[in-house]
Amino acid sequence: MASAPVGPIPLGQEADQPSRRARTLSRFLRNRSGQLGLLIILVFVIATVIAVFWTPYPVDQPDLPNRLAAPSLQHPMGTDDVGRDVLTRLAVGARYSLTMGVVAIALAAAIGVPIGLLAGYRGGWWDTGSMRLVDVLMVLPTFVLAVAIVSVLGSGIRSVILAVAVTTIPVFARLTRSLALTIRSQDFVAAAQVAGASDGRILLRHILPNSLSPLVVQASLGIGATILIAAALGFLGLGVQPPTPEWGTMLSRGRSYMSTAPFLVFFPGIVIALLVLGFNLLGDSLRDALDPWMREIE
Amino acid sequence: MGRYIIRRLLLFIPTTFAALTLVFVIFRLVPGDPARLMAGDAATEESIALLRQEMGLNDSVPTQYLRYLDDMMHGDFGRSRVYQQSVIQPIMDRLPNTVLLAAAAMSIALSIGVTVGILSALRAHTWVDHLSMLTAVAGVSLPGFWLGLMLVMLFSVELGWLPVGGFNTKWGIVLPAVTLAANQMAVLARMTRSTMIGVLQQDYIRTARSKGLPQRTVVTTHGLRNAMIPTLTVAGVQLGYLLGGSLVIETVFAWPGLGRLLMDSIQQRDYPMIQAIVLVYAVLMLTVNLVVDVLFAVVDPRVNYG
Repeated sequence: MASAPVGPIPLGQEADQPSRRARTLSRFLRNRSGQLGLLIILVFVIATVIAVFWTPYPVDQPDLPNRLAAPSLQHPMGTDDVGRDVLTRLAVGARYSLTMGVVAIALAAAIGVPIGLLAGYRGGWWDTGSMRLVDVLMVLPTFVLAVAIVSVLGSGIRSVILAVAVTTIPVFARLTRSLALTIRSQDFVAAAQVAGASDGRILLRHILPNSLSPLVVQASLGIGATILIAAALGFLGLGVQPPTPEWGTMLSRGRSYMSTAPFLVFFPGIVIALLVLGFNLLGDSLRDALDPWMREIE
Repeated sequence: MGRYIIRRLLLFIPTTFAALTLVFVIFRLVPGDPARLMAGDAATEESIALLRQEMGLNDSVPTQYLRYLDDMMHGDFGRSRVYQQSVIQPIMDRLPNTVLLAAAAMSIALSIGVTVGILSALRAHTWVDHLSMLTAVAGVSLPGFWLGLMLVMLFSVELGWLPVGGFNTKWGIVLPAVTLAANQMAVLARMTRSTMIGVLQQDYIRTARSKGLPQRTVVTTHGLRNAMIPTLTVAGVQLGYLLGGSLVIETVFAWPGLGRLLMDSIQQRDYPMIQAIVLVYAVLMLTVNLVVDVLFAVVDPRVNYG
């Protein structure tokens, strides 16, 4: 059966045209806001990697004579209430926000996507049952659900990841379900079924690969949203705890010095907003690039 | 339509039940011991055992669940450990403040967001459009708590135009409401723009134009009324995010709403209170969804709900 040509053949495509994927990619690369988003994310990733090996100042060493120093050449973003360099701490803090965003979304996708695939492909009681179960998670406002979960699990990076992952499962499950529903009625799925492919093979080799692009869009937007939620939890004192230089936590601490050292609030906020903006721009432009194809498949 | 509304009303029962169950699962089936969690780190083994007895944690989970449902049906939502009374009164004291703040924010978000969306759609692909949409993406990306603090710095500390927040001052609601609205404003502007662009390409718009109707009439009566349906649907969904966001904004502006009460209760390990507040948020959200759905059935003549 391995040689049977039942792969995910792009719809309505002539043999000598560039592939759908290549066309989507070129549309994406021509999109200016997508480039900007990618650039922002890249800068943050590079800063994170550099901060692992080298930082201009120690992360956690107080320097009391230099406390609350305004931004200068020595300290481009000033120093905090015990004299620690803000830029250093933000660069080190990037790894927590990136980790929480990526891991929480990966976890949510790892649970939500299989549920959605089966629900959409199988239909019937499995569909009804799993979707009602997923709906239960949506009776609460997302952030309230996250706060409730963290309030029982206790603060910390693991709780935040788990809380956000749980709140995001419905998004992935429902999106994947609707994709699987449309794709399963395509001719190439019927062809695979006729050729005797197993359900597992059809799901993994035909339906999943064809659902991937919209899922990537969702993941990109989801990472942005997660970083915001994690920062808000940190700000409320429910997230990653000090002295870890998590952005929301730093901002919350800087709040006490807002009248004398507003830069302690300003810079962490700007950094959060920029990284989230990066993921949102990337997700938006990926969606725009995919849009003609999405119409093709519907 | 009548049948649809009745069916939608009846759906409120299972969803409320789902909310009750979710809250039970979160607060009872946590890893570890709810009694230990509630008593705090300093508690002795005896006091934890006593608390476990008091909370009925020695019974099986199904028994606990049934008793919990029974209590809820009888309006027994628990007793606050901090207030030393039923949780109902403190919650009822705060609830109107949260509803007020959310309603103010939603009004701001709808009026400004929809206006910006229409202007963008009418001038699609010009600099006006690009600028407003870039602002909208930025608006979606901003942390609300940061925006709030920055607005306070600018309008209260530097310019002295508005009070720092403060519930009892005359214009105290302006800054928290605007902050809370910012995110939804951006989402609604984007939504209105894209549906409006779609609507403006429809045949009936061309017909209206060729009849010689003024631009204003075409845009408002023919365009906007049709474009508003998806926008309002999104606004209904967004109310959930708005309620979630109010939790943080209330903390920033010391606004005496449910969110503040929730944060205080978490700090004081007042779990009966936390549980009740989470439940109230669920009921708020379900009620809003219900109202939105019923309103649509009444307002939108095109939709046949069977």
